[in-house]
Amino acid sequence: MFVVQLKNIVKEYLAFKSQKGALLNALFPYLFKVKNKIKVLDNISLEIKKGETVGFIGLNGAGKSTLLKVISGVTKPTSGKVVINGKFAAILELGMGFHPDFTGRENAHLALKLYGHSENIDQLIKQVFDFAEIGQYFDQPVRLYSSGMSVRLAFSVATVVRPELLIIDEALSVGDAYFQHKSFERIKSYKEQGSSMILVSHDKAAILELCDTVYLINHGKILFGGPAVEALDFYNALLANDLSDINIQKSSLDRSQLNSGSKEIEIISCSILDAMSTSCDILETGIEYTLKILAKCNSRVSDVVCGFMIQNKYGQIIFGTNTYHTSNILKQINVNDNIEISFKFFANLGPGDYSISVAFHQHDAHVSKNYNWIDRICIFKVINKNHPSFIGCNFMNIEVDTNITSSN
Amino acid sequence: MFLINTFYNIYQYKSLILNGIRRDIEIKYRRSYLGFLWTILNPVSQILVYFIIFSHIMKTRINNSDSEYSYAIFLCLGIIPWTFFSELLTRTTHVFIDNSHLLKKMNVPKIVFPIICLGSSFFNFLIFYSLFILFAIFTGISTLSLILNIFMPLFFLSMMGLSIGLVLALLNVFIRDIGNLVSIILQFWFWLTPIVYNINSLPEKYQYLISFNPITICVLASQSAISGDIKIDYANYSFPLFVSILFFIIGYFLYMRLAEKLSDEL
Repeated sequence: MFVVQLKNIVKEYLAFKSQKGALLNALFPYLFKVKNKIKVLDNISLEIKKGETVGFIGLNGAGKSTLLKVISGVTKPTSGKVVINGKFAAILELGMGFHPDFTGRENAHLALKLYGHSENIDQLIKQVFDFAEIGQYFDQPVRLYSSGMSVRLAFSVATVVRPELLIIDEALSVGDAYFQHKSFERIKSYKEQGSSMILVSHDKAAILELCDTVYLINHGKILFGGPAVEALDFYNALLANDLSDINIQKSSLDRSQLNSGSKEIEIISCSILDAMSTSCDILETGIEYTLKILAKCNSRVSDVVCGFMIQNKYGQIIFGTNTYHTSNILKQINVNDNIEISFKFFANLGPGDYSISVAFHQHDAHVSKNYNWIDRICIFKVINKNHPSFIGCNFMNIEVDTNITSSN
Repeated sequence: MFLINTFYNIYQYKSLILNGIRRDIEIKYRRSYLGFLWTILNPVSQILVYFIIFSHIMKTRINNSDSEYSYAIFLCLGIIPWTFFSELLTRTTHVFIDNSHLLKKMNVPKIVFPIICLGSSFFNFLIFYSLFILFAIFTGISTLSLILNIFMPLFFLSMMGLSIGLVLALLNVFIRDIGNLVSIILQFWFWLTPIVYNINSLPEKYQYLISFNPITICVLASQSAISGDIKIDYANYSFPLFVSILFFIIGYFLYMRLAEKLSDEL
């Protein structure tokens, strides 16, 4: 059972020399043809199942918002078919066209009607009021609202009745932490009750936590569709590289390993060494280890920075730094030089599976010039042998002191 | 099929339409002390000015009347339906541009917005005309004839205002000159309609020309409550009816072609 079915969606915006051209083409498309077309969506097909949460990620201008507009019916595709089964609610932008001079209550009233609710409006308004928690502001004009309050109201209105499909474009990221949690909770509970969801966000944590499937969209095409972790790796690589520089290798763990970059410097190996300088992939909590990275230089480069990042199995970053921050920038490297870099660290990590990604780039961030970036170059497991049992991914060496004072 | 669907949309979104009409009315007196009173004060002052100036200062009368208020009533009977028509046409012409923030973000049938214009213009008319009747009662004119004579003009003015307005509104999204053009055309149109002058006072060939103005018959019908010399036949409405149907067909064709493209152009 599909909630959304897109078949070969193409959306073209026509570039007209004059407004007259736009009108004539709209009226008589066969008589007045246009040569200059800008393809915003290029042959997109996908299906969203009942209860599935799907994320769209991509650079600005990739076509994500246009795709949401096509799905929600605000704009019609140039060709292709959109099939939607069930009632949907969309939050396409902050504020949703609230009128600044009307109160939150009045705006909620109109918005509910725009969403097609016509019964029990008073009761729904009450629920919106309760969920938004903006107190007396609910009866104040919206122009007095902070952007966070507008988001609270917009989200509360859109989700007051559980829709079969909820479409959210970037809206969540503006609310404060409390409301983000609250709206996350509602989204999750709707998900459990069988709602499907489409999310566009640059918030990686939200994408990781909520999405079953993530589509990476680039220049109007689906570049990648699959599990969230892999899609985000791909996206990360896309930030720094041309598409041609990226290749995906299936690693032994059956998770794609991404190797990207311009390869002026090539990573040869990466290993974790214990005190005896033997390579290991099981680490003990609290013990000191060395991360050793070997690389080769293919052409003369300067100001090279090497960085690493530890992620847990959910893809959340536990720790990451680079030699720019530690003031160990490699000023000059010549062709065929071998590079050896060691990071010494204490494995102050909780028990579980972790991965290390390593990168060579210029300056602080990998976006400026990326020589080589390998995701999940080594995978390791942390076990806790010598310390009291604990939960979480961070180890804090604690000392406990207890004291009971009798009240008599 | 599309036509049935369009009417079904209007029915489906009736509560949205009612809400929109209420907003249109309320927005005018938001952030003001006198509030709803403003909706009444404007027409009252307009009627008052006509009654004072034309009855007591300029002492104008229409030909066959001995009432000192006859010209003021004559003028109101022309101005009020005209105001309704021109307000409806102007607002409808701009309606898609004014509501672009909603059209770009929500999938709402576009037809509801012109209907909202019709509703709120009609409300303003009701206020204006009721106040006028209150004034007119004191002059001894038959209230019943004021009420009965307005139905047909009102109906045809609504139909013409809405259908011409829809055509202009759709074109206006693509070519914005139309919005500016409308206000100029309305100025000429006003003087080409026998509102401030009596059609009989014109030379015969101009009378003939002016009868081609589809608004003329509506205004004459409304004025017939005071200037009893003009007989209004249902056949006289054939021209406004023709104009309504013509623009309805053009508007329908344009709506079918352009409605889906509005959100891309706005």
